[in-house]
Amino acid sequence: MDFFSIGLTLACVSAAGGALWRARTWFLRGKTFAQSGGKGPGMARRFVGGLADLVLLRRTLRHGPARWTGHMLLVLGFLPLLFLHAMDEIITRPLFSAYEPTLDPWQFLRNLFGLISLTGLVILALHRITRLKTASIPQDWALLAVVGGVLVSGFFLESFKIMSPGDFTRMTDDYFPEAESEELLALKTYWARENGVRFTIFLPTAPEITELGAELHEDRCAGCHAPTATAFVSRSMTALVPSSFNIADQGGTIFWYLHLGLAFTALGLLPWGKFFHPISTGANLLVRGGSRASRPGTSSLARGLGLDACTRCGQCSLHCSVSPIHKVLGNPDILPMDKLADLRLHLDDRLSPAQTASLVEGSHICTECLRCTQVCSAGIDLQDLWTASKKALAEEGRAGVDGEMRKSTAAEWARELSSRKLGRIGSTGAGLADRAESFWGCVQCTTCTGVCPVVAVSEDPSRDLDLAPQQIMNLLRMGLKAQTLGARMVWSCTTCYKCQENCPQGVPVADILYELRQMGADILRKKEGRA
Amino acid sequence: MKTYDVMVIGSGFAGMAAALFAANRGLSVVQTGATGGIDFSTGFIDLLAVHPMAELRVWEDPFAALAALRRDLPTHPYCRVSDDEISLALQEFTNFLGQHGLCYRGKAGKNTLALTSAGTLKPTYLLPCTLWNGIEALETKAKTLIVDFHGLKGLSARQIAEVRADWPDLKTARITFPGMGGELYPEHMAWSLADPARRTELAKIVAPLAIEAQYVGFPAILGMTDTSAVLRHMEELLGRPVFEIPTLPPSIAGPRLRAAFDRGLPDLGVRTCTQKLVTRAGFSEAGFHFTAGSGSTSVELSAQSAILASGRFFGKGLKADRHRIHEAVFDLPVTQPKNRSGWHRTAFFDPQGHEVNQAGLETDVALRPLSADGNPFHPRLHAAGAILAHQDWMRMKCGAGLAIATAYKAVASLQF
Amino acid sequence: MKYAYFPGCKIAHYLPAHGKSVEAVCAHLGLELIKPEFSCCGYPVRQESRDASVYSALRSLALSARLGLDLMTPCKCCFGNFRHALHQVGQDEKLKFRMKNFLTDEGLDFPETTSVRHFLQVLDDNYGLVKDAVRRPHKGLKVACHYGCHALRPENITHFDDPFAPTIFERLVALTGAIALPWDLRLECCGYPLRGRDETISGLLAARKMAGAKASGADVLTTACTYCQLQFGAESGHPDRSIPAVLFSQILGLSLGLEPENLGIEPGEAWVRFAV
Repeated sequence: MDFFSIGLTLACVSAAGGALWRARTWFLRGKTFAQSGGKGPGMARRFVGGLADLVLLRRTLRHGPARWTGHMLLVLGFLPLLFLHAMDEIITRPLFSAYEPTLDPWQFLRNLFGLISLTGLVILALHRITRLKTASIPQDWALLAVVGGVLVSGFFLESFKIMSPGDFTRMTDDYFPEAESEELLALKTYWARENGVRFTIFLPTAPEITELGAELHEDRCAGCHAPTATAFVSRSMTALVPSSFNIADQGGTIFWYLHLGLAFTALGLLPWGKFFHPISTGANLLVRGGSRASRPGTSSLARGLGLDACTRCGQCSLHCSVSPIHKVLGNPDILPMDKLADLRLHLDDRLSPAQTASLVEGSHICTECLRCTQVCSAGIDLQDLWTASKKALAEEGRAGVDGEMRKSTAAEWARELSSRKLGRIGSTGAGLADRAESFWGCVQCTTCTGVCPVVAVSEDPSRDLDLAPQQIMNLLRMGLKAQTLGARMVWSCTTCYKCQENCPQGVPVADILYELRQMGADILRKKEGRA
Repeated sequence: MKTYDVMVIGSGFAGMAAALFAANRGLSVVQTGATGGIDFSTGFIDLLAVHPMAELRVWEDPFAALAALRRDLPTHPYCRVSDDEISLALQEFTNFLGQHGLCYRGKAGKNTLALTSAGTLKPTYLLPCTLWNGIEALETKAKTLIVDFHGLKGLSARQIAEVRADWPDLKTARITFPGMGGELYPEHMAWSLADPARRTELAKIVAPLAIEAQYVGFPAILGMTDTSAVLRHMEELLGRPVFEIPTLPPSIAGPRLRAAFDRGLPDLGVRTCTQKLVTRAGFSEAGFHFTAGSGSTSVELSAQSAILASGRFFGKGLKADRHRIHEAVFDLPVTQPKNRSGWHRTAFFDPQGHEVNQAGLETDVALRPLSADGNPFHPRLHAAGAILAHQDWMRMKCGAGLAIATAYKAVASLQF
Repeated sequence: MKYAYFPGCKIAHYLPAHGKSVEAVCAHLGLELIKPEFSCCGYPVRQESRDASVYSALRSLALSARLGLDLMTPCKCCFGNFRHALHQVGQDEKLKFRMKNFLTDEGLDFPETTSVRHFLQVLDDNYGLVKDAVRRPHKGLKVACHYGCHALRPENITHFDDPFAPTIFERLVALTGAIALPWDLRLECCGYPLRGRDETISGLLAARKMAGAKASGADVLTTACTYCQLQFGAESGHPDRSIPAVLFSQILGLSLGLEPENLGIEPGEAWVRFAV
């Protein structure tokens, strides 16, 4: 058992086992939501559309040519490397009988695809650094680092292997054991000059020796070795190492372990976070069938898949309609990317009460404008997830500020709040409810109550609404704010402004009711630890 | 910017009347004003019932009272209008209301004693038709049932019965309003009675209690618009004449009147700027320039003539500080007691009333307010309604009539 | 005439017909609509945070200002919230200061002069243009206009029309050939703001309005606001809707000679027959 076998085995076990474990969530998570009903479009049409999204990355292209370019380059480079280089023993060699990794076109292609991948990765990394730094978490950087590490270490490995005299000696021991010392010397001279090997011994320069070396190379080596110049990246990199440093053998060894270690890490980490996105996002794109709207007929499996497919590209949050609200309130769950992650955790019962409260706030602030769904590179039907989760949260008794206020009666709130110093709403309220001038004109004429449509449709206003508008004004001008905050009238006000418009004395009744609601939201925010 | 023929400042009785009369005469009218005047009306249109105030003498014949008043109080605004003008004004005003679902009636040339929610009798000239059966019932002391409602604070039938000890056949009953509980408000009850099904429910509850009665009276909640139809239906359902009694203010009479004007005036081409008070007023050769409202939502208005019908303190036409009373729009001189100590007498219900209530604007015969030198402040500025000096409309029972008549005169006096 | 077009959050998923018909009408009338990527107007969050609501509005206004355009919206709640935000910063210096800081963070300038128009106001501003463009007047279509309260009140902030006796909607309806009937509850709230908060009252308010419109003898109730239409229309999911509710942009669009499909009108809607 060597490093390679152990590493590969562990990585495969981790990848396969973890993938199954992860795929399990696709079936489980969506079940919490009520069925959406309705029918979606036909399977065949969906498949073609989904395939186009997957292969052409249409969704990414629409909202980010730079990201599309980066991702396409990365994938177009990486997939050949994965199948033809990493898996060459089981794919390439059986298919191409004359395959050797040191032959062309393989050697050239390996460098080409490696370079393409790396270019793509650099574009993606720059994008994340310049536009997504604040929204990024460790796994975002980890994926870039690990994949980048595999690519870069691969180049270094090849570079050191090119320079390695130890490797030369191993090869000649195996394939030219009968070489005589002048022949060996000639071959070394050839290899040093043409292929960049770094020998520590002094090498002759006489033309006959070079010619001999070339002949021997043709005879013995060229069958499996194209000139290392075609490994254009790795060969160029050898120039980075000064000729006086004899570190090629050690370097080769180090980078061999590094390159394979990182590759196994990448494979083993496949089921973790966004490392899994090639599978989950790929599957989701196919299932979504190219649609950008939010249609009925979403099965719970599709929802579970959608929940798992996020690549953390950040586009949803960048284009979110309520991002100005996030800017003011600061709750990251207001933005789709973080909200989705916390929704997953919530469905797995892994959110703390304070985090759940943040999730509930984010859920209720969302205006369901459809934009995140339209821009999502991964094709997640976010709109459907938001509406379904809002309903599910409400059924769990988490219906936002309004729902929380209604859980206690006006009297209970009055008792609880009377013991606190309520003061003004944070430091940013208009403070209308605290100012005497707001109420100096109130003559309790009940006009506000008389024109209120909510009072009009209430069978028993004192029972159903606790207080009528003019009664709330009366309590406020007596400084009894705590008595008013829990009144149903405050929370069932339809904001039609008839009261304020009709008031003969200019009391800003509707504005004050708004202020009371804002104050209630603020109090709950502090209570739930969301401040 | 359009220059209107006349700008009416105020949307109380005088303002609404002035806008109506001007529009009816083909003038282009713009009107500003706010809630706070007509909205608190009881619906009664008083002409004149008490004179002299100090004697609390009540007149059955308002025109005879007018004659006496003109003789005794030569500075009273009623001296600026003739009996004919008063009659024509009231006619035109009530015709308009009738077209918009508010029928009015009275006894020609006679005041009527109407029942109030306190059980007292108030002399008035024109009343909503929905009250009329109550007058008949009262005058004949007929067997009557007055119904009130659990939770409606503005009317107590029992109180009315106790005060009207002279009406033994007046019975009372307190019932639950169908579909509503807790605290009730007249507006909401009235709107709910727009539904015939609700009226049927109400009649079903009342009918067994009204078997002995020849008349049935309700607090004023019988519909908001088209009150005659609601009343007729109740009469059909109960099989006997039905009437309303206005509740304590704010009663529904105010909103009914306002709704009629809000519906009818734009149809006559009046441009309305509701809930805007004039914050700046000026004039030039071209005419008057006003700013209504303030800040970014203010409106600039131009008019050839203006009628100042801005009301008294509650209407914001007059403003008082600790020492003096000011007129709010043009800062016109306000006739008032020399200093504050002269404003009130010590007894609130003193029959002589309080001098502050007679403060207001002096005018010439054409109802143009005067400046300090005794000349009209502006040839095309007129004033009407409660802002005029030398009248105490509450004690003399002359409020609406004065407002409507002086508005009529002001419009008639406009010069072009 | 060019406007920065602010559809509001609800059109994309919940009422695309509104956006479609408004855009079709504007295109036909030669009113160009520019579409920067706006954010939410801030109306819903006003229930929870004044600053968040005001900032949301100012940000979109700042984007319009940067384009040098007035902002036009077909939703009355959006319209109202923009006006509220402008009013609030006018009254509160500290608020204005905080808002300026937020705007600067995003590289935006405070919108000093941008004005906000509602779709109906834009039509009214171009009254003659609209009048001349009517090709297929509706003969005999009786309409009850639902004003929608958030544009109407409080007038000293929204400055939309007279709050007690408005006439703008009836005047525009008259241009299409339809007859606007008077009815008592025309200025009352539709009840949408209470959806998800107090469904009972929301439903009662809607039912009351619809009953009133129906009692007036109208064939349809017409709305000019996304929220109002969602409350009264087929999209509302209310089981007993006593009268059909139709977007004014669709009524107008038909009278201008536009095709029903371009206005988001579903085939089979009965009121369409009135268009000659």
